[in-house]
Amino acid sequence: MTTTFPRPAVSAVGAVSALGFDWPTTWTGLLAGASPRTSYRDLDRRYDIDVLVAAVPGLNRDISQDGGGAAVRLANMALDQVRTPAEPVRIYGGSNHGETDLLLTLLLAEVGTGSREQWRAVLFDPVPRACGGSVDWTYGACGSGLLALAAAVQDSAGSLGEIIVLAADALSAIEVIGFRRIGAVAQHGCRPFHDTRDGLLIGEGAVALRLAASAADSAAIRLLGFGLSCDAGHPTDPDPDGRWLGKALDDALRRAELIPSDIKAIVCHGTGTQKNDAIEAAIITERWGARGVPITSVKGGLGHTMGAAGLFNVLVAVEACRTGKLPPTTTDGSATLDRVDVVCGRPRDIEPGGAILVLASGFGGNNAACIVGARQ
Amino acid sequence: MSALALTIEGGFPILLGQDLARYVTQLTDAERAVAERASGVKHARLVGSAGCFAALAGSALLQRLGPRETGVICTGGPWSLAACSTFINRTSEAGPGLVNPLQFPATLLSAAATIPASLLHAHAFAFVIGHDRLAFFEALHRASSAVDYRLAAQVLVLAVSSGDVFIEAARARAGVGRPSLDVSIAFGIAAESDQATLQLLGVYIDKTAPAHGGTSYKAEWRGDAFVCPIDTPLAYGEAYGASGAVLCIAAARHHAATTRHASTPFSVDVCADGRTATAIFQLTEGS
Repeated sequence: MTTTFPRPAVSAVGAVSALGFDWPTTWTGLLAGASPRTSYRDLDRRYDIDVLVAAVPGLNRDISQDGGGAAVRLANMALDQVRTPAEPVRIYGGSNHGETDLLLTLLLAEVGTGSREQWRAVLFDPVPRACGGSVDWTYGACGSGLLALAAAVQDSAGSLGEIIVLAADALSAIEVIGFRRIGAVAQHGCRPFHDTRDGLLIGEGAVALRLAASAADSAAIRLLGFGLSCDAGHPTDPDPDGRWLGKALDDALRRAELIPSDIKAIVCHGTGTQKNDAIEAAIITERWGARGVPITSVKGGLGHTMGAAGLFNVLVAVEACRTGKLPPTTTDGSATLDRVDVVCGRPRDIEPGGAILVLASGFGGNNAACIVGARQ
Repeated sequence: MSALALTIEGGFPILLGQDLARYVTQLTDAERAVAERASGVKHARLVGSAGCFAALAGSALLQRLGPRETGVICTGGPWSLAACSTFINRTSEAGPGLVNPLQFPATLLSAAATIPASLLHAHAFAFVIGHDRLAFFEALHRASSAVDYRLAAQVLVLAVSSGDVFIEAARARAGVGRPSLDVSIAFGIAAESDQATLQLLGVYIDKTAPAHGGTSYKAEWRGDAFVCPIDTPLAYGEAYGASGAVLCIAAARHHAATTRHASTPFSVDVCADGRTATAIFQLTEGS
């Protein structure tokens, strides 16, 4: 028996990012093309790493006695914006690397230091535990947030109440060092889809969505379709042909019962790396033709928020669908990849309520696509 | 959900003298290294044991099931600990500029799923699920849903655990009393399979399961202490997110040995840290 994907509505959103401590502030920053950057050296003095990052300002990065740190705090900041205290809800969450700096802190400490609870948090991830209650947590690299959302949507069919989807990741020395060593960090600013793009801007943040399975409002923004795939190839590089990302995209369209011309905009993964952006541009051109649909990436502003990136893209799509404004990339529009219509400089007006495609990819070849729109 | 076919295979190629050791055991460091090499995973020592054990079990099961559109779900646990520790130690000794970039991908928790997916050409999806001892039940639930929604023709739930030196050191410091088990089990879930050992009738996480009229195998973690009426390796070892898999196999074996009617359903009902999970099964003919 094949079951039809439910189409729950998004009833509330929350976020914390380098651009703001809530979603309205973050959205305003995205529309304005803001791109706050900090040297990682100023956040973590254990290693002398001069890499620009998109950090949440003033975030407490200390490890508490129970093993919680910046990732736990980010998750709860986003969760608190959508959670009703008295109501038990099921949470579907995802992250790329959890509270990785906890291990770093413990290993760099003197031998024998670290409380039992802190070491316990090394064995049992403190981020989902800190959310409390019934939490289903997915680790799918930078596709984690969209994978969690797909799970929540599937389960929303049998849900009697509302459910929350959460994704969070904090900056970590391991990721900053690792991305720099694999040559993926931008040297001259993150410029998604630019001809001379040279890497990503590492970021952090958390995002939460509240889903209502039974919303009757015809104007509600809904999740219309999903597609998942795995390149099953290289540990870090995307499949050079984009075949499996393309399959995820096609599956999302099929499940949403849409054709490419129904899509009014695409919120791309758009990391600013040579390979990712070229492959996304190629599969989009293959389906929409040259400059056939406006595309954007928010990673020049938000930074690459890792496991939260896909869910941030969904929030962008939901807000763009509601307001009819597609935020610009931070890329100079003079030299974007010539076959795609990259939104640059200022927001692009699009048809409110129209369907918007969201893409996310991650290490290990994780791909996810989601379509957002006002249609039932 | 509709009833789904569930096929089980152990991954360890060594210690074949004991049937149970195909699934769950406690390896010496030398034996663990042999198992890692046997997995066929590139740079196995950098990846860590759990990813290799997932590949071992997945390969063994896929040989029986055959290649169809396959998704991979691996049960959660501290599986990136070895890679992260090695990465951090190298960074501290040699400096951030000299750490091996090949070590970076395995510092992600998702590597335990994407590594076997790459080896098995599993293109439907690959991720790790679960942060506590209910992870296996969450994986079963997600796999069932994926088959129902046609996200994959079959899903491999890879239940793994490792007792490597990094996890053991953290376990000792965390005060978790039982030593870590080495686990390598693959569960294949599909709408139907002539290889199936069990039928999966339903999975219920943090909600009440329907009555089924058969035996209920109830187990509970009280803190880290494990309480269960049947004999399982969990009595003397910790399996993190794979705990439920070890328990379900023990329950199925017990049920097969004691029941008169194979068609009678049985359930495994667990409680851990205030959360509950139930999986309801039925033995297939001849299993």
